[in-house]
Amino acid sequence: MVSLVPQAEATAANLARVLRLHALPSASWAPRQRAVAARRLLEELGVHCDETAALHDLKGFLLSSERGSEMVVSRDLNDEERLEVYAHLIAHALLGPDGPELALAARFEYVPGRAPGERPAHELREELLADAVARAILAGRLEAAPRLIYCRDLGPGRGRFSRAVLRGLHRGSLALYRRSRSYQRLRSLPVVTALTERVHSFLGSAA
Amino acid sequence: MTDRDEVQVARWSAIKSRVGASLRELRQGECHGAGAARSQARLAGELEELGYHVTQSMVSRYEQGLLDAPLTLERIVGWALCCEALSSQAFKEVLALAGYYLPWNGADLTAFDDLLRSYRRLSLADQVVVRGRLLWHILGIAPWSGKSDG
Repeated sequence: MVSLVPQAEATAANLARVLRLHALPSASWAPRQRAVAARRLLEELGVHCDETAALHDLKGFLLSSERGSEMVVSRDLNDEERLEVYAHLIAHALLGPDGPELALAARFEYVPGRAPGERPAHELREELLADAVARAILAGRLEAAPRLIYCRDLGPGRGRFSRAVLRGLHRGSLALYRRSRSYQRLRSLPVVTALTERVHSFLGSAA
Repeated sequence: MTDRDEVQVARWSAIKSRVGASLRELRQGECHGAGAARSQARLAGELEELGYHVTQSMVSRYEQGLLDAPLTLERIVGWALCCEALSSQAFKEVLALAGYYLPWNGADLTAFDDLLRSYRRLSLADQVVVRGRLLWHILGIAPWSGKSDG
């Protein structure tokens, strides 16, 4: 059985790290190099990437099965757009099914304005959330998204009580993040990110 | 003809009418009452795009159970994916008729139906690309996964 992407959490963290490094003023890379680096990283982590497909309504899609995971991206996209598709599909992999893993799973990335009109509500909800998480990945700041999205294991905690508080805080944050764009913006502010990291470190570290 | 070929031919002879009838139902959109009909010519063209050399006449003869050459698993899966009426249940049934076990549980079947719905909302050009990849992934599914049959 498969997940959307093998080791989705590690893949997202590494992709964000690569993009953060390549955005530093001292080592600022051109979009082309960033897109190549992202693709290379995905391939190394077991995601086959094909950037040659002739697609019309889709910018790209992700298919996963026991054969492996593959991202197929439209050949008409520029480097920035290709990078966005990769980040978006990895965001979907992070948000992917919580339940038992499926024999076959897919996610589609539509060209703006060409998505079908009557998409199921759960698909639209996931899409909105994936937008926010993809922005965090592209900014190289995965920590700008709620921790439960990219790290489901919250650690041992200082004790039973602090672990429960920590879990409650993270769940609350995730629930707010799912529902509110304002909270998504607030959560992505460096000062808020730093605060949540401190709270997590305090409550989450082993006693 | 080797012994094995004789066995294969005998097996195919026993099931070709039922498999053909089931594939015809899929093509004509009669399966589980859903989906638009595909003409035999269009199906042959779409199978050609997937890399199979199946002519319109072969489609017709397979559906009537007249062809002695066994229809391979690859062709059955490709044929099914080209049909608008395909559902997870129909897919499982047609494979079972041909003697293949699809090791999917209830969640897998539901997810496949969702995937088919999303896939059918795509433009034809995109469907062709997705179908080609989907075929490869489905044929790669291991026949035994240790999961219970849902």
